Amino acid sequence: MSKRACDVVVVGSGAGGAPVAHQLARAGAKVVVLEKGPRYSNADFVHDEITTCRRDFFLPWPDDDPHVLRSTPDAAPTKTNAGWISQCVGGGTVHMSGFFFRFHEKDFAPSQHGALDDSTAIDWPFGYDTLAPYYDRVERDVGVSGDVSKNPFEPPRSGPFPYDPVLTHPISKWIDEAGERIGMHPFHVPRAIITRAEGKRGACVYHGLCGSYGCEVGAKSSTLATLIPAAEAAGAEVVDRAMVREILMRQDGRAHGVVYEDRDGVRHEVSAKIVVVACSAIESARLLLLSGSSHHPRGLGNNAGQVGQNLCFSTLGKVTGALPYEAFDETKRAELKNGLPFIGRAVQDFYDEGGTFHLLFEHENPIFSAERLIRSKDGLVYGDALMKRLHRHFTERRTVEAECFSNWRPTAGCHVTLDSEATDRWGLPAARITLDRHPSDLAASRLLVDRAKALLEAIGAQDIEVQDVGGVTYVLQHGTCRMGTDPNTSVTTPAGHLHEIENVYVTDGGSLPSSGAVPSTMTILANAFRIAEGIEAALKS
Amino acid sequence: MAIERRTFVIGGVGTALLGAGTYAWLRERGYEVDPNPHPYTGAPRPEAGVLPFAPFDPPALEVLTLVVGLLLPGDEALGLPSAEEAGVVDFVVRAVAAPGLLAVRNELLKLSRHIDIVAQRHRGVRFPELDDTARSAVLDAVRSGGDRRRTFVPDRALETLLRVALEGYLGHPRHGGNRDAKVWAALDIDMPRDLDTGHGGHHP
Repeated sequence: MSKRACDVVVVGSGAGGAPVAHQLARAGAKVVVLEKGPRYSNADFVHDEITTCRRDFFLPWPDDDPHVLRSTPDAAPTKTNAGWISQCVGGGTVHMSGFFFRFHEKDFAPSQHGALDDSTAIDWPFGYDTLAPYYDRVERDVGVSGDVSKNPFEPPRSGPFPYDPVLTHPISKWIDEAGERIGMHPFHVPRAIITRAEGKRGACVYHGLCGSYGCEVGAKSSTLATLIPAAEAAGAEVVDRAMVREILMRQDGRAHGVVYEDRDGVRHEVSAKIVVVACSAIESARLLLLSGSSHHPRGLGNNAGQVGQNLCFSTLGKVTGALPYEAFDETKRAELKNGLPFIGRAVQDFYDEGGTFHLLFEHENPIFSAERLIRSKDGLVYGDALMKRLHRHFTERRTVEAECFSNWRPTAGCHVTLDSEATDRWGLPAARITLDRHPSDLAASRLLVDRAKALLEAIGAQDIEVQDVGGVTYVLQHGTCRMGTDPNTSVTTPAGHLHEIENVYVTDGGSLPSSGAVPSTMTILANAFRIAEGIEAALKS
Repeated sequence: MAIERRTFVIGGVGTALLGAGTYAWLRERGYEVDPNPHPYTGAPRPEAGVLPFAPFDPPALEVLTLVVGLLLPGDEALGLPSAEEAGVVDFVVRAVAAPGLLAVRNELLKLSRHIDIVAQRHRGVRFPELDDTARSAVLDAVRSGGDRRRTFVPDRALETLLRVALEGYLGHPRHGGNRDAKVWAALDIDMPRDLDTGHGGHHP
């Protein structure tokens, strides 16, 4: 086994890991980033639905690398690939859609907003004001476009977005007008997409295939396009296809590095002053649990049994509506046929009681769309009937979706543990995910879905269908190593390190005590920058 | 242990993203997972076409070709090409030869046998020997799911075939289906075809 040394080893290169690598490499630290997946280049990001979205481009095959899922605490365990975000340099930021909302102040203090009965929620150890400067930094260093002027519910911020908003489809005007009629305030969705070229990054080319795909011009603000190359330019080393097996501990109770397996199955040891775990809320908890020893029989940082507990995803609701060309006059029909891909409107009028919903065109993946047409109440649809459905769907209408994001309240029944049977291709126990829902989650989701339906109706949508209420957004995951001041109810300190081990940090979604009522990627990045500053200070001291 | 689907929602979809798909759908319904005949060695997985033999024997291929033709017949009035014109069966044969789709291949093989059995039981001849009307009736019987067995569910297998066929009908032409992108053209689907640049989509 080869051995090498560095100041900081970072496990994971996505939203939780890349900010740390970026910050510390630029501060002069010797940083090694270990990423389990491959490194793709822009040339790999082809618009091929089969390769990218329906095979193992971003996700592992469940047999190679399974999760085990129980849909309720009492349900039988099933083997699945739910809970994987992405395995590649850049992690989930590579294929994200990039809806970069900030958390609101209420997200940091759940105890002040509704009863916590039957929930294990805790307040964050700090408030919005603490994170606000780091949100600014994400917008600047990673690149976020938007227009702050139209959102009356925008949390306090220091200034405008650094990039002009993306161009939006003409029906965004319909939504603005309809919102005004029914008392809602649609506003421009902030996107992690840059609208002017910057260095090696191109400006958005508006092809519309953002979510589920990588960006071939680098306009999407993935860490692969932004923080990782900047960190490398400052001296960081990024090793791809490096599977970290365990965190190594010294007798004095501090970590001294990690062991990883390279693409050829050869093991290597990296010793480091600081170990940063940032490989997703589920996998970070798993790594801590896998790193148990005689001194830490329950896993690292787990004396209170909190590692893997308090798992919360993001609650998803979804409504679709059709805008048939024939239902509109010539002017509106022409607007509807405009090729711009982004509607770019969100509503936060119901944030406190529900959350956020935003409107977008149905994903342009044709196979994905067609699969929605093959079922009817009478069963499978095929033959002439399917041909007519396909023609109608693709040539006679546009389909608009409302995606509704609301809080996922943690409960004692929702957690990650090590499975006793299933193993991955490295022979390590797989993560077992057990789901449990707090009743308030469903109520909030239902409220948002109802409001979204009202807005769709107001713009003239037909065939409105509720696709999901109280669903699970598996790629947005939090809570398993949450920050807090009480070691009996949290895993990490407000500074981000384990209560029990001062030089092991968790900087991904696992450290967030709550999911918020918006997609959380921007908050993960901001919090990772915040923790990284503290690590830098610790290294210097 | 049962196998289940992952609902992948990408950044919202994903939302789905990434979410759905033939594999996920199959696993949700408890199909065998990939038997993983190529243990991980660190090297990339082999590409499609690794089976050392044709995925379907001639009788099975004959049945499946006819069934795919019924599932996606095209529509001359609407300008939609048929499965045959789009090269869908070529795609299916190529796709199920990939290691990750061996379970699908096995399921489709069982489906072809089942359809032939239903045809012989009810019509006295093999499926290919029936006329179009009779073939459609057999397919409707399979769709109704009346002949469920513990390890093989015919109507679900038929749905599997339809989903894989849709990949060949609407997927990128480089996989062998959607020949000359004629289905995209017929449905006004503006997907980039130039894999070197990835461009060709909507521009403001």
